[in-house]
Amino acid sequence: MNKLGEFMTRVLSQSDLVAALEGIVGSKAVNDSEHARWTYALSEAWSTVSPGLTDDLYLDLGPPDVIVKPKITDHVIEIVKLANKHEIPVIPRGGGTGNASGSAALSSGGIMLDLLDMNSFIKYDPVSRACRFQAGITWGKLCYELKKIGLTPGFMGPHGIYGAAVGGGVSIDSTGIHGTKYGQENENVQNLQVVLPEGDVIETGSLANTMTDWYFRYCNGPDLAGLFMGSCGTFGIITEITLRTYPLPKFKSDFLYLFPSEMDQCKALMEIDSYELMSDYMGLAQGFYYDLIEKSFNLEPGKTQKGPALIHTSAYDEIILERKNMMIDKIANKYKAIKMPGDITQLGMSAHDTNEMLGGGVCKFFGGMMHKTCSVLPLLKCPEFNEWHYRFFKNPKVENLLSTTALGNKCWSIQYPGGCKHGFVLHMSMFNMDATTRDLRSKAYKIWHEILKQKIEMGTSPYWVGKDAFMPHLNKKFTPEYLNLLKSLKKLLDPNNIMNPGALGLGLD
Amino acid sequence: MGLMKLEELKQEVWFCGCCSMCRETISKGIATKHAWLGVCPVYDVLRFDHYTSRGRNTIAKYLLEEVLEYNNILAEDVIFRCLGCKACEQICTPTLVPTLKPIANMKIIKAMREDCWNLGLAPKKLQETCAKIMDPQINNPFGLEKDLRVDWAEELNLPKKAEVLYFAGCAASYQNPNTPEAVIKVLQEAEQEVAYLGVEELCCGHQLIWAGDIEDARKNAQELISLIQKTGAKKVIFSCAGCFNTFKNDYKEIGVSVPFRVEHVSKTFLSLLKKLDLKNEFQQKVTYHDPCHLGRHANEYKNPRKIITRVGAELVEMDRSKKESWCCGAGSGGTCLINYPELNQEIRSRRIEEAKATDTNFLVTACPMCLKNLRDAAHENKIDMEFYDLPNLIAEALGLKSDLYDSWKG
Repeated sequence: MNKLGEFMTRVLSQSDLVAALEGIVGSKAVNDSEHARWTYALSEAWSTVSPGLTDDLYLDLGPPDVIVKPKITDHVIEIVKLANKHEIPVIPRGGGTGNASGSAALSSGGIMLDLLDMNSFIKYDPVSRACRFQAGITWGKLCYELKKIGLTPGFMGPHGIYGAAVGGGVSIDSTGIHGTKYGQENENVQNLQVVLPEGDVIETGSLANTMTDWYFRYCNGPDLAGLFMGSCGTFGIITEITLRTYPLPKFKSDFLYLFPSEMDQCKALMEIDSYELMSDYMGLAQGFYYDLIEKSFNLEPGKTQKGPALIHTSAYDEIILERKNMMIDKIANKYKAIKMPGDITQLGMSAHDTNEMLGGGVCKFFGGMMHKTCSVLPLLKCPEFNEWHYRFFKNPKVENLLSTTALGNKCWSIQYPGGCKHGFVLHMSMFNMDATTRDLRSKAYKIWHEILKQKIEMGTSPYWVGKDAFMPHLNKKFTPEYLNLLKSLKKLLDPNNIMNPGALGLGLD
Repeated sequence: MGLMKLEELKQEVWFCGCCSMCRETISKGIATKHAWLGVCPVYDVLRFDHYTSRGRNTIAKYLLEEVLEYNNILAEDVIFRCLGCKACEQICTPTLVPTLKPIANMKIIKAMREDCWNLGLAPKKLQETCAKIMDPQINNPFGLEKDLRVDWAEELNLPKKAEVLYFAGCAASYQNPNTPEAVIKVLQEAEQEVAYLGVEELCCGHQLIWAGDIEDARKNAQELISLIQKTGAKKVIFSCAGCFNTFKNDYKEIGVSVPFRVEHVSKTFLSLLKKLDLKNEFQQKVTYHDPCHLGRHANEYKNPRKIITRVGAELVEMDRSKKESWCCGAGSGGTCLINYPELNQEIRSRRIEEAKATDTNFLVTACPMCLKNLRDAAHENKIDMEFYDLPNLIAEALGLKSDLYDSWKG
């Protein structure tokens, strides 16, 4: 196991480090108490993966030395310069809601930048139809600010987590709500402001030109915004973002189809998607969701059609919505789907509600801590992946370890909640396990990694690489040329290797 | 390690997925109309994760795994700073299944406090407050003379026995005596007989429970219930949200059964108002602050609002109201007010600014602690508002006169 701290020489004592940081951001924005450091050591939401709580993690993670809350870009510049001078790791963190340990510190510690106080909505530019804001803004605040002027960012953040930071999502190529219609978060980015590892600040896209005051991504040479997206802050810290905006649709509907098979379901969704008729959908395969639907609609167990799909449509005009829904019906009928009657949102089902899947006490319902494996996959490949997952979860050695949902079923499921455009989907399997003992957490961690490894082996591509999740497996799968380029870029931009070491597997040599 | 209580909630702690909904998000119930970003008032001011339920539950996990240990710093900085406002539980419910229950954050924080109390780690001021409550010569959190508790009732000649008993509570009796007086005058106007324990009335022990001093809280509760039982009361009514919730919910949690009905005066008065002559309708725009212990804890939102409109006032809601209401900052039993005055001041300032934004001149609430706290906030922030506890508003609408409560409005 690599331990970064072994080759770093710290000149600055802890008290001097804290004093220096307080000199930059003020004493109220710096905290190095033991309990604060461990709170920020939690490296994943919805999982057991955290130093001190889970044994045998792939990387040697630990609490940061200190947590700092910058408010403006100048704070970040000064912090990065300080860190560079003394060769101290800097770990940027958004909402801390990721699933890949992207914002976890290594055991060598470092300065954790909690960016949630960089949360100003800067402006909406009607000329560019885009909005500018600080990277630590939450999806809740961004959607709220835009809603006030009748707009939406389109993609509305990861499922059910409005407390997640937009900048964090950019850093891990987030997918989520309404990605089907508007594309992933990063497809909507126009410009980024980034603080580089040595303290320089760059603007990407149109803003690289000092004479330009409008927002556009693909101009002024290479798409440098792309370099920083999904990079978990290994090349720089994103401090401001410009996103496209869209008028807020006034008319919405949700419905549920049951298809005869998963392949019919995927083909139908693919066709509906190709005509851009849906805003979002949730394809469901086997697992407790299916039981939930059977129970909600009083269907005979096991004799119903396989392959349920929740579909969400929206439009700016009622007649257009009606026509869209008619077209969807026509396609669904072609694949012999049954449309379930009534208002499915009354049953707590929808493919667009921001709280529909995650949030709050959902683990309580599932009877244990949730482990998710989300990755990008072509829709038509889902049935093949589902088959492997199904066999895996039905293996008594695995199934017996899983917790039981409030419905009385073993808690595992396979679903694909939209998330991407153009026939691609966020494929996700989920299982829940009692996490109250170290032994069970360790078993859950191993099962989780077994699924992640298999996903990589079968050719799926994670959108969240992070540190602990996909990275250990991806490192073996990336082409050598790709890995070399990543490493060269890292050395070029971050010669002192201070930026989030360990993320993307970089900075551990 | 002294983790006994937290150990009992181990499963609950591990159900928390640390999703961040309890830190800052939109309020689900009002998402279609407005959106407010704050959930936890303490986080809203101090801005570090460990002040949220998500953060505290993470700390709980590390305590359970013995990575962290309870200590004075952790207790003072985190565990006793929580307001107990329950906003985190309100937001902690996904819509996947409507019956789904939130993480029991209040139980978890109470368990951590009980552990801390048993280890002698509770903040010193809070320990002193609890000692005053348990001192039979004092038995109130303010350390004031026991006899002063009944000053407001001196000329009212209240019986010691009746089917209905009014429990005035410490905060109102000592700090806001116009409220109990108004309660009695309204009841008398409606020709309702009500008993009062007088100088024998004990503190309900709300602060003991929230301080984690459960052994004393249990002892105090049992003694108080025994006193009430001797009056023959079948129903006890409360004007204090904190006392009401203590009897309604907290006693059950500490294993003390309550052998009579309990009711907040908002319910009592709503039914009485039907037969009372409103000689002096309160035809003003008012805003209403939901006390956490009446609202989120005891699920009572409608009756105070109905009373406000029944007395002729026009209710203008603050942006955050009902289930999404923002705590006044006093904290459970004033724990924040006592231990973290600067934090309390900041939180109450934010709330009073919200009240001011309603463009009304009157704020009504149903808890003496909230009333005093928000009144102080208005004073600090130079906001010109008049403050009414619900019984005082009714008394005024009924045209009842009293030097005591007339002097308290501004």
